[in-house]
Amino acid sequence: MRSPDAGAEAWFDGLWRAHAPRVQAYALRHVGPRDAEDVLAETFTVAWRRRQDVPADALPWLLVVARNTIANTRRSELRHDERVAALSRVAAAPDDLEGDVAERAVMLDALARLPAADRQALLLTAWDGLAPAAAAAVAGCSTTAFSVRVHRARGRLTRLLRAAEAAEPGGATDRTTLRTTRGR
Amino acid sequence: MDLDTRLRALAPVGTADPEGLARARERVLRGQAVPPSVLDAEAVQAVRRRPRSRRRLWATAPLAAAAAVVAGVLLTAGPPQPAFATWTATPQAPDAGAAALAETSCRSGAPAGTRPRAVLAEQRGVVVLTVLEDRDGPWSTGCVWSRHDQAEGSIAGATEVEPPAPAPGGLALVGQVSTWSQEDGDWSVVWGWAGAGVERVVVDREVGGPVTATVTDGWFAAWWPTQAQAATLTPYAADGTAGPAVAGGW
Repeated sequence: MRSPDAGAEAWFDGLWRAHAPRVQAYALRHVGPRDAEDVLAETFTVAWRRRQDVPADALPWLLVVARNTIANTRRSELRHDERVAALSRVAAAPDDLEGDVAERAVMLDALARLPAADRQALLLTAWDGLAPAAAAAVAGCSTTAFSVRVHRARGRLTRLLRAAEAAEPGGATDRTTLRTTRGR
Repeated sequence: MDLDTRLRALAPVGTADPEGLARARERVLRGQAVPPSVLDAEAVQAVRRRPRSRRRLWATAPLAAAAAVVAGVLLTAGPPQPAFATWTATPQAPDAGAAALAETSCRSGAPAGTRPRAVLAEQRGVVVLTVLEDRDGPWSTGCVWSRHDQAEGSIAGATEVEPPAPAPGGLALVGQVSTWSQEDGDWSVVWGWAGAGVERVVVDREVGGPVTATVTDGWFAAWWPTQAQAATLTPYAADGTAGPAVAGGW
């Protein structure tokens, strides 16, 4: 990508093409589509205005701006079914195989049940592809604290998935407590 | 299949909402069509003023009206000073009108299902800090509020942490946030519980001088306009005796 000095508009165009879909996906995990559009526009407006501050590895910086924009707009927390819908909007589409559809639904339902900080920690690394230090910066904590958070989140997610699997036909758990509400 | 593989298999591919992406790009490009010096002042506000959801308009209408009143005052008061520039290390009792607006703004961000009540308010310069707690659960929030010509009046951090109650003369740190506001810049806030007999709390930061917190009815709170983290929080009794310090930071 060209640097801002080589032409601000060309630099911005490259920045947009490289990162806008990922920033949008990040926003869609936290807010509805209309608000995600606001967050995306505002994030890149800030990037344009502060273009001299945008580092070469821009994605973590953009996600921090998006995170702050989401926090500053003071939206209420999403309900569980809204969290599942938000994750479903951005997660990779399932294959046609029935097993993949069920696996996707179970995983999204379990992710939606995690505390927000745990879910963010897992998805910043697994979905956004950030290294621990960059993910920690986006999460607003130290790398050490982030590693602890990821470890804790893995444990919780594993327990939720086991409970969901136990709830399959023939399992021991009440299935209704774990059923996924699909995206809108 | 291991957990990481299962998670990565669902990683987003392509563009989730192409139409939303195109609309956002158009809005940003409109902002770029003016010189950067104008953009700094106007483009971000233009994005902010775009109509949002009905729920949010309802939540912010009283603040917009208040901002209009303040704008009238400022026309005769000369150029406004940046809100965070008025910050002081020692708090003052909040102006009743400002505190009411700040609390209204703070309440508008409470999650559905909570029954928030205000437990603390303080003022430093023109900025009001409000702490709310849920009557029924562990949720609490610290809102830093200043008057702006924009929809949202306050910025906040919230937590669902509920530490053990502090011993007499001690502290329990409930929430701490370091973040950034588009209008005002960096800020940090701490809030928590003050044990019986605690009359004063001093926050020593990793960078910057000490900050005197507000102590009210078993709660304490303070904020400052940087992202320097709290290094220690020290309680003091009425006779000046220091209690056990609590470590801040992450």
